[in-house]
Amino acid sequence: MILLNDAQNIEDYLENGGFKALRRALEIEQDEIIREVESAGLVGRGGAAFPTGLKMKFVKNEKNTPKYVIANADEGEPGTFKDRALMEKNPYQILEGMIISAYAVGAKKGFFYVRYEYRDIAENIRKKVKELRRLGILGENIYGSKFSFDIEVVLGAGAYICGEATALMESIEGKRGYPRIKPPHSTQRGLWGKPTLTNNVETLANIPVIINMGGEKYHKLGKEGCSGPQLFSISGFVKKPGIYEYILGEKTIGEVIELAGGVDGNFKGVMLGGGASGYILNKDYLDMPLCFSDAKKRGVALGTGDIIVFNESVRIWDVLHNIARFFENESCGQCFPCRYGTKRMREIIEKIVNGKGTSEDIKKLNATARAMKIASLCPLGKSAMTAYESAMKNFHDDLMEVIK
Amino acid sequence: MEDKVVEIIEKHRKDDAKLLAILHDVQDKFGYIPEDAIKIIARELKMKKGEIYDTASFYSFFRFKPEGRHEVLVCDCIVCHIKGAEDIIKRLEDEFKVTMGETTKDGKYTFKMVEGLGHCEESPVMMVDGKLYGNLTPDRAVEILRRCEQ
Ligand SMILES: Cc1cc2nc3c(=O)[nH]c(=O)nc-3n(C[C@H](O)[C@H](O)[C@H](O)COP(=O)(O)O)c2cc1C
Ligand code: SF4
Ligand code: FES
Repeated sequence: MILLNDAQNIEDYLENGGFKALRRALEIEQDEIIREVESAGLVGRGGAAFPTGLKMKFVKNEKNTPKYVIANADEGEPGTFKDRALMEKNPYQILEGMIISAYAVGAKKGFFYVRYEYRDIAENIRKKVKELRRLGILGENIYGSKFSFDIEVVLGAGAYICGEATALMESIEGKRGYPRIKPPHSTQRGLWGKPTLTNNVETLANIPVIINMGGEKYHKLGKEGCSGPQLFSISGFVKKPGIYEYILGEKTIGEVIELAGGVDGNFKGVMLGGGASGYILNKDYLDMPLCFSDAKKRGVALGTGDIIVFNESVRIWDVLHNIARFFENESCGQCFPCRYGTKRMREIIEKIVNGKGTSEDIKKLNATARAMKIASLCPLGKSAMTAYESAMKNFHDDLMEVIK
Repeated sequence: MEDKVVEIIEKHRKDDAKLLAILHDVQDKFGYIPEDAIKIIARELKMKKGEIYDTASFYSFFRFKPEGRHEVLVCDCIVCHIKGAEDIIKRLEDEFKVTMGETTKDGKYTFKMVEGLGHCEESPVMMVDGKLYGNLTPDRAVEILRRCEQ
């Protein structure tokens, strides 16, 4: 295992080569670190799969200071629990990745933003930060170098939207978590208007690995269109739900389900890439390798890397209703298309769940989906109907059976 | 109240991300965020009371009224939902004579439905005063809560 190693205390972490990558990083040029990350082909594990090295380069090249880095541990996507597992088992690797990233882009201060539901974890990270300060691995002149950097742990207070990078920044600044209008991008003007690098905690845990093994070698883990290890949250009707770590591209959806003990009951479908903003897929996708490019080819995405397995007891309209309610509650309300669209979507689906759906309602849902996709300000509104649309494609007859 | 709130503010004076941290500590201290505390925070941070309320009210875990002694968060997000969360909610509502979002008449429990506790490998789950309970059945959920009454 590369990410999900068990190193909950500093002795274990150091014993397994912890902070070797940081010491090495401090001896090389910032640009060289960024080049390694770029050649590794690492992309973000927070859902959007954006190239990490490129984002680092954007921030590094900004002249405006001070610069900031953010570790995103908001993990609000339903069905996703891998960041929690990683923070519980291997927290130092995330912190090491964060410090290296800060050095690479020239940031002196970082924020570690943890969702309220993981309060005990936030407390633990806070302790580790203090410990690292004591050891000279955080604070002034890290490992005796010229580089100084410190971390503040921030506890969220219950808002899915705060996982979105710019909403998260508003939240750190002490405001409502409203996503910002882009451009400017937060790499240019982020926290308090300063260049800011935001990464998911799993992404950060890959950075020490890349520095240790070298970008080229890391890149060979995987296949064309995806590289490196990834954590998958497997839940729902499988016999052994949990977090599974695989090299991207090595396993198909079906194989991963088997490795998680197989289906509990008779297979019906899966939800891939997020229990709210992901895709509802049928058995035709079981042979799809878990790789960004394969997913893209089939018009779907790995998102936050979760697979929720449905058996015959799961009714798709019921799932869609649950998701619609989620989005209605979690829409931040800033823009009309999403605020209104999520409410309308929930109302129409509720009517259908109650057995009163007509073909007129399906037309309305489709129109709402289109409008939200075009006019919503941020990806929450744009992705709110992804589940519905993918379900309509993959479970069409099933869904239309109850429509009058 | 004044002293306690000022003390909390001082503790976070040097933080960059002050407001949320202060609100969390105030809520921990008093069980909710009292109006008077908002006044003091506003004065100390040189903000308007309305601004602070505007921020705080956006977040679902900040509360402005006292609640029950035990906070019960029941997850009805997708994984818990397909694994039987509705049955648990129904049973709790019957047993404790409340609907989700309410506090029991005796002031012991406040029940809230939440959107994902991040422990989907143990769905269905609930959290009682910060402690997680997984693989629930309706009976077990009731039993766990009855136990913390003793
Ligand atoms: C509604 C919404 C919620 C999000 N929630 C999270 C989250 O909880 N954790 C996360 O890492 N990224 C989340 N993101 C993605 C972030 O905006 C951002 O892309 C990510 O933190 C960047 O890190 P990465 O490049 O390492 O993935 C969310 C995005 C949206 C639109
Ligand atoms: S799309 Fe939805 S979540 Fe995003 S800014 Fe608009 S209202 Fe808020
Ligand atoms: S859906 Fe309830 S803990 Fe994940």
